[in-house]
Amino acid sequence: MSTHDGISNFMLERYAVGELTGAELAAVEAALAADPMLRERADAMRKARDQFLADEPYAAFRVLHEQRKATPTRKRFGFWLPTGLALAAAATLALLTALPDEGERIKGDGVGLTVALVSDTTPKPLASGAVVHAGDRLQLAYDAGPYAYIALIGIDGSGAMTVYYPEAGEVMALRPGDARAAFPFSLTLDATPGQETMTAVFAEQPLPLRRIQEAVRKNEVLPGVSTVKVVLEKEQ
Amino acid sequence: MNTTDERLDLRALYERYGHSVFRRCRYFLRTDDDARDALHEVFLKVTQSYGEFRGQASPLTWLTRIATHHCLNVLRGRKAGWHERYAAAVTVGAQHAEPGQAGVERAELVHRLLSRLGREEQEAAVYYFVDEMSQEEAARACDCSLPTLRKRLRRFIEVARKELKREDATLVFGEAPI
Repeated sequence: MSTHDGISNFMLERYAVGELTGAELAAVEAALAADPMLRERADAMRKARDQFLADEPYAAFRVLHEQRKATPTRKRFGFWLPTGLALAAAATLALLTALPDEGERIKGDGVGLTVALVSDTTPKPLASGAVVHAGDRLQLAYDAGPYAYIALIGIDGSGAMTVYYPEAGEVMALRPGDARAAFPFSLTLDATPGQETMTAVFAEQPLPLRRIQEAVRKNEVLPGVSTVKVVLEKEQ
Repeated sequence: MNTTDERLDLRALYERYGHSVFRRCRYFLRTDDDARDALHEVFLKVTQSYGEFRGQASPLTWLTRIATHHCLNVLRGRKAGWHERYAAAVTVGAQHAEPGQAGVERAELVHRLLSRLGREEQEAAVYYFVDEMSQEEAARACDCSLPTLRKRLRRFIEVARKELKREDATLVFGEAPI
């Protein structure tokens, strides 16, 4: 179906946006010099790109982009419960006491992650694979086992990755006090459909978050690190 | 990151990659309006995870991946009957294709088969057969190993052959190329 023996569409596109260097760049330039049809494709690509920017200039894009950024329904990250720390602590306690030790608590190597759907009454634990909806509010709790440092990473249905915890800084957070606790926020799901994956990462050392993100993205196992993953199916 | 830097980065990103993202969205979603809407959603995702973006050796690969995921999710979200609408749109598109446009026909076949594939096979098939990425590039874009990518592509080929055979029972296929 595809020979893959010449310059691919993707390679030509990378050339057009100026990403190629070294041997790749030389290979494409040599192919362009030798192949008039390839030159036509490259020219057509350049013209289409110019036309796109003429039709959809950045200034107009920027206006709409800002409007969408300000749309509350797209707000992803959750919030401390309204009256602050006291209520958040109460919610934590309610969650931990409401959840069973086993069952919905997804367990890893001596660690655990619990995801619960927050409602007006008792938080409802969700098993991995559960269906959730835009606007649902989730509370998450962890069991860090013997590990001192934690992070919570989310990947939404579009593949975008978000570090939910810690909320600031460049490295994993030192867990406060007990090995079992709730994360100090709730999450309100946005409208992006698809799988919402929550990965809790536990480590002996405060590893850089960038490294943790890379490992989560690649399903890589790092030494001295344990992870637990919960996958939710978000429907619109 | 301050506002000025963000604006400069967004402009540079848009002017450099906006068309590529739009084209990817247009391929999946078929109309300019839907593609434009998706373009904005993709760039919102990009600005939300900008730190991750800055570490990418090939920003185009990363953006293509986000756009692909987004569009596949949009299609999935449309649910009822989207694959029938797809099939109709693809049939019309194929009638207008220039003879001998193997790349166009291949892209249309992949498009037509998307609804019959799992999410991972969809993604692998688009990168490999439509974008013509090498297996190594496609594996990187899928965040999977080469053997896993090949397995997904073989699954796609299996489904494609069944579909083609259904339309023309006389077709005989050689050994799978992957």
